[in-house]
Amino acid sequence: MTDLLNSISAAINTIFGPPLRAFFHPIDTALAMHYIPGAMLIARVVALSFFIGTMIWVFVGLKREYVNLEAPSKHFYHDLRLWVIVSMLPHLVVYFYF
Amino acid sequence: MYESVLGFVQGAAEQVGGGLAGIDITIVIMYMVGVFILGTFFSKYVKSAGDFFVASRALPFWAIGMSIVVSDIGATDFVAVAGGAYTDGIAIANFDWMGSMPAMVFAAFVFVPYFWRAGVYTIPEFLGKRYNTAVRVIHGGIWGVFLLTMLALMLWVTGDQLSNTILGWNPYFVVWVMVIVTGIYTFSGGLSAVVMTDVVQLIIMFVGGIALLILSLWEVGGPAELQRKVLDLRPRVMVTLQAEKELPTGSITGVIEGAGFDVIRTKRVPIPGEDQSNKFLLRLDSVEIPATADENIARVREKARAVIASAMADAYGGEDKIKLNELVTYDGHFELLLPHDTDKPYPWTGIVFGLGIVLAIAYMSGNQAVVQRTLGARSEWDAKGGMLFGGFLKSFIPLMVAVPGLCALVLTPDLPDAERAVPHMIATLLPPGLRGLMFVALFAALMSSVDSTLNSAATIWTNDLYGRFMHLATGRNITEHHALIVGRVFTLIFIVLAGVLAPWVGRAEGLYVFIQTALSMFQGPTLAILLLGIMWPRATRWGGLAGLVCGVAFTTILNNVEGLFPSKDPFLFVAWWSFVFSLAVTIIVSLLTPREPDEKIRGLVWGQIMKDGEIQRVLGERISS
Repeated sequence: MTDLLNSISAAINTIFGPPLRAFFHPIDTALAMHYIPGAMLIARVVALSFFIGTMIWVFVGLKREYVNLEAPSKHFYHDLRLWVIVSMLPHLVVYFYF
Repeated sequence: MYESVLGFVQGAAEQVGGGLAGIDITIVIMYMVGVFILGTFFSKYVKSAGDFFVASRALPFWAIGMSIVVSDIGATDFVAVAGGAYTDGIAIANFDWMGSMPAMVFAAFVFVPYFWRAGVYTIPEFLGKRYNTAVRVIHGGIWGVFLLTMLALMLWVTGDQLSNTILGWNPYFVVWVMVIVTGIYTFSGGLSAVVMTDVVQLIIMFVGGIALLILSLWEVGGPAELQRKVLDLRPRVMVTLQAEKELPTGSITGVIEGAGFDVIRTKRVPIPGEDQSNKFLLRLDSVEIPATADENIARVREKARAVIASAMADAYGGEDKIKLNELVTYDGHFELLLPHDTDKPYPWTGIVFGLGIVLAIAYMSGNQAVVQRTLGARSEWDAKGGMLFGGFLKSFIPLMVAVPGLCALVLTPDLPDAERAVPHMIATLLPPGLRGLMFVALFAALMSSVDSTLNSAATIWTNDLYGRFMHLATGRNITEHHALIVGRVFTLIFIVLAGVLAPWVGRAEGLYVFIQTALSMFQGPTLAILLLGIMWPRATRWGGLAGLVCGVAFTTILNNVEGLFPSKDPFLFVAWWSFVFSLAVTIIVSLLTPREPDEKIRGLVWGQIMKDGEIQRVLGERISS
């Protein structure tokens, strides 16, 4: 059984390896970003954008009524948009510093 | 009276060979009894399948959030995440930060309202309605088998690795105590019992985790000292030599020094049960790891590895006789985002795209244990709020788990097995009483995962497998009362089966890896057809089928072709690319095949559910009935 699986794995590697490597290696080289000084700053900006983009989506992309449907009250502490901000701010701080 | 009870407890501890003091054993027993009573208390509220599977839709947001977190974090995570921090640094925390909060926000405002309003109980149920029954049964079957295997594995890992390895307790004894306690309260109280015991278990887990965090940092000298001491650690290399005779330690040191490196410390590493006569752990002084603009740390580290390997091969005759198991440096231990071509398993591109966008959303939206809690909410607001509160609580997990792992690196830098970091810290740092509390926290982490998995497995098997089978056989859906009985029978069967299979599954490492691999192959493709099925009315049954089948085939190919990605374990990249590929295939095939009739997708597409007043009214009536 193990031999059969190894043979299948080897066949897949032989058949699909060359075209897939030709496709993925340029992408890997580009993403490694050795040609850009301070490349990891880009990584940090992308990571922070992921969190900030999510917050903007909740605030701008979704209606307040939809977000807070069936809320117990209209008090600010029952506004789930505020919950998103409070939950995500620590992440922003962490990804900013580390 | 107290003395006689304490004497009994100490006697019991000695009988099972325990390493805990009497007070610790008392705490463990009190916890077990308390959780058992609390769990069975909720049995009086279970009168129908709705009570059993979705807690009568009465759960508040705080209980949902706490339950989601504690179900997700098992005792094995405590051990494995701390081990990951010990080996690879804080990048492991990405799984609880980047891999949780954005996905939980997305789930809270897209999937939760969708499931809530569409009245769908399980993901396979949705896939069956949107595409066809075959997809439902296949998907339900895979998850059903996976959850059952996970149950057995969780039980065995705790029984064997935690209780037997650390305390010397009989693993079968621990496994069957877990089976009896969790089995009875999950059987009698259903989701209500599971969620309410989870609340207690989360509080205990946080108290134990914070105690360990504070004591670990105290011992190291504070956060700033921790960072300084970790970054000051010398690189270490583990070398295995296949030689017919035992080699002297000095001989290895001489060769390494001859290659241009200063050796600070050499240590022969014993691993029980293996012939380790020629396995060495060396701590090096001057491995050159300066990063330059065109040569990053990973490449320089690889060069150092090559120089050492070459010198060792020259000295001992042939590269086949020498193996450099690992060369660990600590320069990136406080970096959350590692370069794309890092030799560690968490490159930033994989973390953002593979984890943040694919695996995290697939887990938070497609995991039955998570979805089921939100369906038990008392209102849509509580369901959404529960997800957000859970995400907030989950942010603290790395502090309680990963930081003690880093502290262990400073206090005991030469552990042969990184996963022993937390057990070692518990054994050496915590005083009697707190040690018992920490063990209760580990048991709580395990039991909360076991009861949630058990309840979810029973739900899937009852609704998606047994229910579909009975519908095909009799032409009728099963009644609420029938579903309740079947759900309880499945609960009973699964927990007993898990207990019986636990040693076998725990030891059959290949089986677990195979099932994990099989499940991971479905994550990207399933998310692709799930998203398109919900968001895009034009997605057709043929598009969904092609997307799923071709996506799984593509994942298989990516997993078998060597050298595609820089990471040694490229599962994050595989998840991302299989998702993209399935998305493309589903869209192309859907556009080439006839669109689905309106009546089939009515009430199943997000836009209709959110905006169409008539459909909202029909769905509302269905849910309230």
